[in-house]
Amino acid sequence: VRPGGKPDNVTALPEEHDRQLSSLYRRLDRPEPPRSLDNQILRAAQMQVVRREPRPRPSPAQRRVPLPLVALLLVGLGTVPLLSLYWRESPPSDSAPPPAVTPSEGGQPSVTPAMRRPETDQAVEAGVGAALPEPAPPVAAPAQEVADAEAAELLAGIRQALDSGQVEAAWQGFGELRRRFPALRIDDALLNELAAARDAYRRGQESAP
Amino acid sequence: MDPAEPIDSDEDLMLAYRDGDVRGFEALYRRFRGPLYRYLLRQLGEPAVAEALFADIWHRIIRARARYQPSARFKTYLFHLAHQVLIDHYRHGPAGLPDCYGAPDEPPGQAHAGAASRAVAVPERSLPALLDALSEAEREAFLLKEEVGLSLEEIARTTDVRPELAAGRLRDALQQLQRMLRPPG
Repeated sequence: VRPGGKPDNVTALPEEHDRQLSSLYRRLDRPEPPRSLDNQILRAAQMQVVRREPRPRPSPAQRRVPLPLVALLLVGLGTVPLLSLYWRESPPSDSAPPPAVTPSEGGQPSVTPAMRRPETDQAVEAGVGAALPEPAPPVAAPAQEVADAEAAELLAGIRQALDSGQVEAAWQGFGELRRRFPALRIDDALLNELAAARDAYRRGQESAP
Repeated sequence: MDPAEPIDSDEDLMLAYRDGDVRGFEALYRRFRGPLYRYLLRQLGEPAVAEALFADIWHRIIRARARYQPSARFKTYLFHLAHQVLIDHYRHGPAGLPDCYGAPDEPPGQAHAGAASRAVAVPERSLPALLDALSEAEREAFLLKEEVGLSLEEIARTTDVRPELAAGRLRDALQQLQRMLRPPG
């Protein structure tokens, strides 16, 4: 046991010196941090509270995403890939060569096989439905004019053959006209003329020796 | 927390600050700004360094406020943090960590043989000068007792050593100071 009366273990302290040193220490100057440092730290403490202050929870109505925005996003997300696929497979008509048009039988122009879009395009179109624009119709007016001009030329040839008494040539022209323009309506007067010329021609053939 | 209710303990003040009442921090700061500053200043001896570490410690307290749990006394929490900052400062300094901190399992009374020889060389018999003659670990133990009022167990917890080693450091510090304060002859 130490003189101070405490058990002599490793955590015991010499009390008689302790009180004297404590008294001496308390009489020392007591320096303090500068005021500017105090202000800086207190300001930081306040800022931390303001920054971390929990915000009021939004009501369910406020939390809901606006419906028009969702609809717009869905439409946009659905349309953009399809449009990009469409334009990749079928480039805009501005850059495409002009369609090759030939008059079809009956005077109706037809689209050449080269103009036909592949089967895959048609399948894509069937899949996307109304999202795709309608393909532009084939250009028909110039073909019709050409057909009309050809028909008129044949009719003029028939007339000239009849007027010159060339019955066989008139009928050859008529046969050509029927073959190329089967739907073309021919004037009854011309038909009667042709029939009379044919009958006269046959009679002449029969009466010949 | 009711604003009209008096706030007494350090832990209650820190809890109030954790919950958003900045007045809790302001009261705590008023209580500990002096002891913490003097602890650092007397350990380091340079006001500029002491102020830098002082600000660092308080900023750490501020940043960690949301995680504070009153598992120990606030002053133990604060000065344990201060001790760690101090040790980091020593480690990153040109002289490195002082030897007196390097052997936590060393029996008390054997790690401080150098302090006595330094004590003899102290010309001025004033307590601040005598404190400078102690090893860093001894001086820290003395300051934690006299400046902060920690018990031996709290000094041990604050400085991350066994209570026996904390007691040995403090006892050595007191004995050396007493010896140096004794008039010559």
